[in-house]
Amino acid sequence: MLQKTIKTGKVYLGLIFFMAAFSVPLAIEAEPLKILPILMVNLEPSVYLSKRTVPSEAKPLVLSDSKKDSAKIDFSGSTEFGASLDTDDNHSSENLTSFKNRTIIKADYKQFSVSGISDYLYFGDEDKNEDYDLGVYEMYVRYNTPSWDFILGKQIKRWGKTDQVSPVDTLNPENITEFITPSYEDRKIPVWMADITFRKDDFFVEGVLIPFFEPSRFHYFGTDWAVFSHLKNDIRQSSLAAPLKSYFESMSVNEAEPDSGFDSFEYALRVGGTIDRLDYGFTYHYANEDLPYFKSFPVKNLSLDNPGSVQSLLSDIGSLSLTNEHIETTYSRTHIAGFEFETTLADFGVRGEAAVKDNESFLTRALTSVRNPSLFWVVGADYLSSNQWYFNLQFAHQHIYDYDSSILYFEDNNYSLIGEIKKDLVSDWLNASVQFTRMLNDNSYYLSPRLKYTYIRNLEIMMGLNLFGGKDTTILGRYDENDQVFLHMKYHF
Amino acid sequence: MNKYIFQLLTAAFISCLVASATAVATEPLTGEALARQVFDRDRGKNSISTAVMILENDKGDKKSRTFTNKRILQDGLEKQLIRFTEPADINGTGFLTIEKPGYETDQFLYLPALRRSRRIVSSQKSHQFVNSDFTYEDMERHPVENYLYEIKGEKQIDGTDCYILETRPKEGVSSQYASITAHIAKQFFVTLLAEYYDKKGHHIKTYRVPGLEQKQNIWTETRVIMEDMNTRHKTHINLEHIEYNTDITPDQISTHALERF
Repeated sequence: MLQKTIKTGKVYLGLIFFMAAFSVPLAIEAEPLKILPILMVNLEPSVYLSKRTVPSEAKPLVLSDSKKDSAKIDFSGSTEFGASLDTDDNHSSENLTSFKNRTIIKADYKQFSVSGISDYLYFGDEDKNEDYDLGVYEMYVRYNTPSWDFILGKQIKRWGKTDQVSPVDTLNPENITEFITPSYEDRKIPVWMADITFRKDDFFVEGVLIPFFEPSRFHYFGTDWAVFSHLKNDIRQSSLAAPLKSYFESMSVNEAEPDSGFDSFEYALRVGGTIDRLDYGFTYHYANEDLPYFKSFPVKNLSLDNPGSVQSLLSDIGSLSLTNEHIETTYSRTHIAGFEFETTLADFGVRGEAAVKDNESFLTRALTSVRNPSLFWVVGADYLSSNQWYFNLQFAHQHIYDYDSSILYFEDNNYSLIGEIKKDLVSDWLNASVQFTRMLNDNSYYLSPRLKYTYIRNLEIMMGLNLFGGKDTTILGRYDENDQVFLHMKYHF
Repeated sequence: MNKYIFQLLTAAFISCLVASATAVATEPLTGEALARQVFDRDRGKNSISTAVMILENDKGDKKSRTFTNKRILQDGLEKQLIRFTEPADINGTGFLTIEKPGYETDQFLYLPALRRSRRIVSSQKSHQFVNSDFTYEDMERHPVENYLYEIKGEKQIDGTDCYILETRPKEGVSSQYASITAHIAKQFFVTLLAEYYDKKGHHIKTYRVPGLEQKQNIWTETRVIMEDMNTRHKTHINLEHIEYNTDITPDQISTHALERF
């Protein structure tokens, strides 16, 4: 079982990179920063209208729009707990329960910010699995002038305008160990990067350098959301002969991450601005893919519609060729060019994105990958009615060029609807919402109705359902047996 | 009336509702002249302030939020950035208003969890701002010429002589309010009391200024209250600090600054 954890060596390298970068803003800081100084001014105490006189009393005035700009260290953070319970016991290997705890503690001092994370995730029952990460979450230093912004360090940088799915938001990998059930923003993983932005009026140019590769986080085997689901455990429980069981049991993954060095650096550029009420941006990212390219799979002659299904595998067992290879994966380079926009039309907020990749890795029925150029665009609108109903609907289209019919889950053109409906039920402290994704090609879907309670100061409590449907050969339908009820609590401090 | 809180919270119409104190005694003061006087009142070329917003329901339960506000006047148009700092669950939430010619505004909301700002559409301007009793529309300035004015009389508010000014949007001007009846202090053109009416003539909200002080020779509301007359929900804004005519620059009140949290 492969668990991806924060790599200590990478953190050290990042620190060196960070400290080197830190010397720049320290040098610049010798000049007086005009960022939110602390002033002492004479302020009058409150005088009510009936008096209307103006005595004075010295009080400090913090000229800041953010606590982190003040002269003292500001600590903040959050701790969250989540638990889920499957609605049905469909499968002997499946995880009927899960539990997670994530705590982030952040310290801000002037233009410097550092946060640490403790992240625990447990999948219960027969095929147990647990991950624990402890380390630096974000750590960066920032320097701003009226025309320039520099941010150096480990951080999350959000590009794009659309919700839940964002084709141009390619800088940070995602944690998809629970697939798409956490929010899009919570799935993002900070990476070391240098970000510099130049602005002039309504125009900006932004450059990003990412020196160290960080893949998306996921499991290959052993959870409901893993690439190969509970395949190993299912084979262990099958009627297969012992040698075959042993063969599959010993199957392992050799991951070849990009070598460190200039050749593996990622570079990104974003040029954008505002024309009238249209915010736009053009993006380019020379990237390492965040998800793996499956170079080889030890079992040959496979043609599976669902790589996590043992029935599918065993039905063809006689025709398979078993080798002593490992599952070999690499991370490929790709060029990504994108466009994003946001505006308002009448009563609607309208936004969209498009990204073209010169090559994208797709898993095939042989459980190896192919690389094809692709186009992915999303356009959508949101609307808030006068009685506080919020609607957000987006249409997405993915086109795979030079389509190979062996590609799993996807056709050459894939259409989907992604959206959210939300309503405050009681003031601002109890709201109901439904998030959904519907694949129009195969009718698979993800549906998540939720109730969120925020009456207690700094505490959010959310409960709801994660429902998947569709054929088990579809990207969302393969999780049909993972329907769950969940409870999530988050406390901010 | 201090533009800061005025614009921050109710400003829109009330600011349009004042008169000319310097009017020549021989010429009768018109409603529009009064409104112009309020609109043009000195509020400094910019200001930075901190304030506490207290939400109080009909049972007296209170929730408070602290925010900072930066405002700058540039070429006759205003930009304003509000950033919430407490409580922790909304720390960093920001709201940016950029006036365009004609006093139309671009409005952006920044939620730290999303790590990006979003444009707010015009239809959302009639909705509550962070669940307060102020709406997004209340936070805009409105051109004096877009409204019809009538001085309905005079009255004392807490011992202060006031004009009673009724304001109605002209035909074609979109507003959630059918009319506003404001009490404007004669001496310094600050709205001390305003009643908001909907299109059915119902009195829906009341704005009051229990605290008023001169800060750097600028009349400044240090306490304001907006009350929803239907729910009896109140929003108190208590100004903690304010500094006018600082050295802030326009780039500190921009979408980039909004996202810089």
